[in-house]
Amino acid sequence: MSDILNLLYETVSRFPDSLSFCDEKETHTWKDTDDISDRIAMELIKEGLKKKSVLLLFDREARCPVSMMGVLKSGNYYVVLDCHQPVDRMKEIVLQLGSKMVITDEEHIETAKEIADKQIIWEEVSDGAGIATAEEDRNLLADVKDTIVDTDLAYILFTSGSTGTPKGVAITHRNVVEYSKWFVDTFKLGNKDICGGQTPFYFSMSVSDIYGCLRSGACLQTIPKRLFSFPVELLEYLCDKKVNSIYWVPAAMSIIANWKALQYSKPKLNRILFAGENMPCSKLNYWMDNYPDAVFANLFGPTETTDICVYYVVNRRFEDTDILPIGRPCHNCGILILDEDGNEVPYGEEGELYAYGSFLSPGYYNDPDKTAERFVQNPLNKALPEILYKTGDIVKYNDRGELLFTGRKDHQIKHLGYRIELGEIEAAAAGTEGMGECAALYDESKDKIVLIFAGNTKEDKIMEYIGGKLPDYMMPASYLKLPVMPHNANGKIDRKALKAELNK
Amino acid sequence: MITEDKIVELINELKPGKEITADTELIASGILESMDIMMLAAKLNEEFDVTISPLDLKEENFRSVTSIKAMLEDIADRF
Repeated sequence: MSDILNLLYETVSRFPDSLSFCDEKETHTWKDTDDISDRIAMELIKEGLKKKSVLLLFDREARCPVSMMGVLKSGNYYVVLDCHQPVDRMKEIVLQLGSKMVITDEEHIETAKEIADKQIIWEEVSDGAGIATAEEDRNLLADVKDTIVDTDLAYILFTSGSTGTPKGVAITHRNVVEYSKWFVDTFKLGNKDICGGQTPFYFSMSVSDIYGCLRSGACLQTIPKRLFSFPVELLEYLCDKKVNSIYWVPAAMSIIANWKALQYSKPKLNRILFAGENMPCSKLNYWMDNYPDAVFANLFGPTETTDICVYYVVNRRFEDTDILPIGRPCHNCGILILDEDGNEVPYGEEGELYAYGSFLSPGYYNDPDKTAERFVQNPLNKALPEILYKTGDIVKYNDRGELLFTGRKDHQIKHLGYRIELGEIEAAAAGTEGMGECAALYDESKDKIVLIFAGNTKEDKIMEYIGGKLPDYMMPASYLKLPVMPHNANGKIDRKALKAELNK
Repeated sequence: MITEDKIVELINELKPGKEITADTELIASGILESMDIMMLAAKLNEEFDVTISPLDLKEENFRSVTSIKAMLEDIADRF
């Protein structure tokens, strides 16, 4: 049996003095990650928490993954909250979880008090670094570790939900252990690597960053969000921190390409991975011209398969207008491409992607209906229970045997790398006083979310109302008021007509 | 003519409904986030017929409307 703590303890014993998690201001070694997380775990154990959710409220800082280890050592599971989202959305998540405990720092203590009864404050527990954990505490932690089963939850990650409530994707120790094994083996991560973390810790891509480093003894150097506004300063930061490996959303890589910033500062990168949305080949070509010897890979999959389920290591040049393949399934991950009736589509034809295997989440936390809807019995296997995840992604094979992503079945979009259900924006907007019908659309040509509405309300009223309910990245960039909304023959809002309206 | 009012107008096109004065902290307050600055730079180039270079994209140049104006005047002087 292997759980995440086995990976941690092995890395701590092999590389105690190597850097583990670092940010702009703070650096940690594996040894002090181990010490501080012991203290956090002891606090949680003293509170009597067992197999419960513990909230983490930090900005994208090194103290967040260190705290994660503390939660796992205590036999509980963590939920990272986006500290910039409206408090009401946080409360909605906390209500679903029934969490009583939050780990935070002095900067976020006021918000922490609003969302949970009890708080552990980083500044008070982190002093323990360098002081060996007492013998009796170590024994207690070992006892707790013995109770962990690899099907226990490690964390819950919330993603946008179409009915207006965020969905909590539950991920187990086993999911992380198996996923990180694939990630480290495939991309050959080692103790000398320094990974430049772009994605926030409440986003599934950070799982590859954190657990890739945890398993291999590499260092995760998080990058301050504001630097993604300043391409040259961003690259200088990577040079300064000696980052050699990145796993970013394409939008972040495009910033560098758009400004041709690598001519001003060029970090020594040898591993360039990306996921979260489609990577335009024109931008990829700019990067490949600058790093002819680096490994480039396009990773693809939902939070429900821990981070991804299929991947493509770039092995040839593409025209600027080509669509980059998403490749083939990860090791120990299976896929099926099925039609509406649950039959396999003929090779080369489009169908919905279904994923299964050891990366697969057991379901949505406290939500049996949504779990039953998306985690379904394999229709091709009548003999035994076998769960597949219905991704909603439409894919097909090209004539080289590589998978291509061709679109979504529903109204889910990827914007700036974030997975967004347009329905969640609509559900939030529907609560505005005087609102008639409304629809959120994604304008691909301008990369923006547009809210189209009818009723007795105005743009600024809607903005004010939903501003308190949605995180910034979900806010519509423009609004369009219509006298009445168009409907199709089924009586549903006619989204095709609305799209046409947008393109006028 | 580079005016503070025009700069505020361009920022409001990206971020409707935000109250902005010449000295409002644009980055520290979170009004301008990662992609916004890139989009604003493109709008500024077009509106004031300047070329903001990657080296001009610095935190200090986008801190407030006043600092954006100073940057633009500096760029205009280069030509």
